[in-house]
Amino acid sequence: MGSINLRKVLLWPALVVGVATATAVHAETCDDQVRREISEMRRQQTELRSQPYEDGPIQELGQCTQQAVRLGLAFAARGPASEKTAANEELANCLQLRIAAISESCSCRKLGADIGRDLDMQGLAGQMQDVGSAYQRMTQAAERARQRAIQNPLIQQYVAEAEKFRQCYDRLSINTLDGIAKKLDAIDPGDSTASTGGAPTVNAQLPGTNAPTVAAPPTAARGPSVNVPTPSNTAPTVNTPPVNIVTPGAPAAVPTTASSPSAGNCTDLRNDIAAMDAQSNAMPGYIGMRVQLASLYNSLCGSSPAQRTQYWYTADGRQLQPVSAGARPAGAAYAATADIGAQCAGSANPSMCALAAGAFGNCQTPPSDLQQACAVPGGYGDPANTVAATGGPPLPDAQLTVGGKSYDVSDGCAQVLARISDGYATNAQLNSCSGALLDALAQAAGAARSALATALGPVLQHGFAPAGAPPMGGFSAAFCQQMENNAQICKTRQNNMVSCIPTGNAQQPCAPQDNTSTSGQAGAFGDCYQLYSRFAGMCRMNVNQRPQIAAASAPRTSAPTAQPAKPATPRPTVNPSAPASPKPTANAAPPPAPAQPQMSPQCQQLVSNYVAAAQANDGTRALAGYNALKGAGGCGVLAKVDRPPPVVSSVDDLPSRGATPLSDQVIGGCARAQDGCAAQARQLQAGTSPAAQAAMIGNAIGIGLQLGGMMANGMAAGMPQGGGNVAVPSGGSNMNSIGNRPLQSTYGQGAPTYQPRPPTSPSTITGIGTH
Amino acid sequence: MGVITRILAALAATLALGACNGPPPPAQVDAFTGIYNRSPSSAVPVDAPVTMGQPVAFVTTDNVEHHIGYNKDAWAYWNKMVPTSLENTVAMADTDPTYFSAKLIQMLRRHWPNIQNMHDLREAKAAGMQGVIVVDLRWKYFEPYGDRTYKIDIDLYFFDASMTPVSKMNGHGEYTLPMITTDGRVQKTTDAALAQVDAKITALVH
Repeated sequence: MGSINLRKVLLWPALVVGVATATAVHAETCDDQVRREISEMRRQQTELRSQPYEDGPIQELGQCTQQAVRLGLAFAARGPASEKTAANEELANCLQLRIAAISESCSCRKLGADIGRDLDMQGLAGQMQDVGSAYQRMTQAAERARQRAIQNPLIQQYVAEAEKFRQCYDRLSINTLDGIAKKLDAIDPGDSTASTGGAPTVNAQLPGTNAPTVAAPPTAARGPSVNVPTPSNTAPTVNTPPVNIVTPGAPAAVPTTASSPSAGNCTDLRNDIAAMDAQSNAMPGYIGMRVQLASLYNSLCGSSPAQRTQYWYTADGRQLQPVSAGARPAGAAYAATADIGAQCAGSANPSMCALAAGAFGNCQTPPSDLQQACAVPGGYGDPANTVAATGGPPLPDAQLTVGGKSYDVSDGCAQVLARISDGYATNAQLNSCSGALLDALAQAAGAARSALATALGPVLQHGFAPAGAPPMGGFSAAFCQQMENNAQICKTRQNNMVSCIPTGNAQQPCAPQDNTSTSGQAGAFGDCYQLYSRFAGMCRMNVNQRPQIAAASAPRTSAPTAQPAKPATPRPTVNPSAPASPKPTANAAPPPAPAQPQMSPQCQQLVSNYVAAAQANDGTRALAGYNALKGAGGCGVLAKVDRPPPVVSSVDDLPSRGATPLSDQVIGGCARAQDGCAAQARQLQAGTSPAAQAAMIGNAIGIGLQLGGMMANGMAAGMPQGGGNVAVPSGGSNMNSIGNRPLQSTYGQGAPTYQPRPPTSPSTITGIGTH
Repeated sequence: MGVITRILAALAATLALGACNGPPPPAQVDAFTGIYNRSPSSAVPVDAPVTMGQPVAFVTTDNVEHHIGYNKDAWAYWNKMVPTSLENTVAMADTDPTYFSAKLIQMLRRHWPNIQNMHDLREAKAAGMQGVIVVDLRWKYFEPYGDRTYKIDIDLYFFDASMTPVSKMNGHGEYTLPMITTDGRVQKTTDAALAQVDAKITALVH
């Protein structure tokens, strides 16, 4: 596990839930403004991604999408889609970049950085890439410093300073990051006074306010790569990507810069979980997360090797050889610890079931359909290398409050409850729960114990609220989005972990090592990802897919009787086994419901493939899975979730336009006309014909001739000289006509017979001389 | 008499240019101004295939309104400056926005015989329109002492039933005016632009 402290990760979401529901009346602050802007952009994103997927040729990623993927803000891959679908995704990712850019703008402003709102999307993507490159140069400089045996705290201070600017996407950040990189390159082993000289004066122990961190606990022995939590209220703390240096020949997964989890660390984790049991057990969705935590704890801190030993299993749940025995045996469908294996046997996709429960043996030699999914859980590495010698005290039973009473929930029972709504659990498996709990659940469900497996789903979804009672509440969309963001950030950071093998070459001391995001700090980010994904999954199921529950969960006037002492914080309804972060990128359709028992094997496979791809955040494969499922008629599940695109915009969302009297007259008039003004158009065309042009010129000349005649006859005595109004006869002209000119009495149709002579003097009428 | 004749002829030729002088041309605004505020028109994918449901409406942009107003103002200006009997009726006919209106509707009705004109997306949405076409008209106006080429761009933005823009299709036409002419060929240029966008609709909209 490396230096993992999950306490803040665990506690932060609960804190956010509380904070998110607090209301405050105040003038709009910078943060308020940013939140408002982000909210609007989120709305636009939702709208864009609610469009139906359209198939088409292979689409490349747009600039915004590429940058969003680099930053871990989106998951996308080139794949088949219509231009419209691809364009929508690109635009949504442009908005995601904008959100990322402005989300830190208030804190960045305090640093002197100015996150401009005026950059266009492409410009912003470029700016973010530039900052990312600068950050990379800084981390490389930090690595070089480490290679030169610079004391880590000194490096850490520089890095901590750099971290402040990492998410401030402006020129100042680029300059600052580059400046820090130069300083890192300039220090030498003799510069051991950390906070003096050129080192930035930062507090390396800045409190991680609200921010989930994956950092060494205070009781753990810190390795050289101490993680410095930096304050952030919107994203997981930016941890320094440590460089795991392994000695040649040593197992690649052994991090030498991070200590194995000590007993104290496991104790901390255990205590944190116990604290959550006490404080949050009635929180909807808690059971599912508790199962995840228990699996994690047992895998990493299990008190006996037996708890940690993973075996290969056949699809029907028959145990094969231990994973540690070597290659994947024939017929092996998945790997899991004994208890997880039993729980997942017979599920629609036992591999994913085991994976979700924290059994990662599959990932040592992952089959193709699990490779993506294993990218994250693989972050735990080989438990034998990290915790085999440590262990920790057994995790206490979880607690569950039903009808105002608390019940002990064994790990096995919790797993069954967590899987009930997935259709994985059977009534017989519920026997792992205590009789008292089952009685309470039966009462809550209003069903006999023998029918609990099918009757309990609604109760779970209602957060164990009594039968007939409204659900406890739902997460806010903003909270869910934050969970998703955090999960993606953790995943990105896990993927960005770098390790190297010392080469002994002074010029290039570090050889990059492939597949390095599997241990130590990377594993910690993997934990972070899993947990946030769990929260995000719950959120999505409660907010997005069950809006009726969220709508019904508006704060009530009276506190729930089951929890009289709790604040009336809106609570999410439970789907404990919400899948981890299903997010097909090019397809806004939510993942389908898990396979039902009556499904055909083919349908089960299609659903499983799709869910697995979605959980693995594999957009391309999820898209293919979605299409395959749709092609098969939806298997009875797709229709439940893949409804026609919601009409996101109501009339109220659209601006009410001001008056357009001219358009109403000209355009509207023609639109109302039976012939669409076709007759008028013909007239207008005629009005520009050569004949009309000739007639117009002839008319002008004719008038000139008349005027000249009048002047010659002394009839223009009142005409001013040298300019002014021109008095001309108006008789005989119907110039308002836009059709062909009427023939002038002077001329026949065609050119006038009279050819005017060239002028001999400047005009005395207009003052314009035209010799 | 000869002098006056020349002056009048020259004046007629000058008026043929329509927008030689007079009111300044209107500033172009984003096509979605006042109509749609979730994203700028520049974010709409270009020439993306579209499937339009029925019924369909079309909405003209503020640029269309401004252009009509500009023509109106220009002719009002010249009406003050020039006697009615000397108005360049050819130029008036050429630049009359009714022509654009008629040809646009004619083209749209070929594809959607029952297409309706709506004031804005809000009205279209309320009326249950399953697709809306926002018609924008962008002009690069003729400059008598500069670039004598004017350009007409007719942009059609296709909105789906959720009032989300899904595609933009453009038709372009331009013409460089000779020094002396009575024919600005605005109608022909408009026809060319509409023909382009018509062809795109045929190819891309279903």
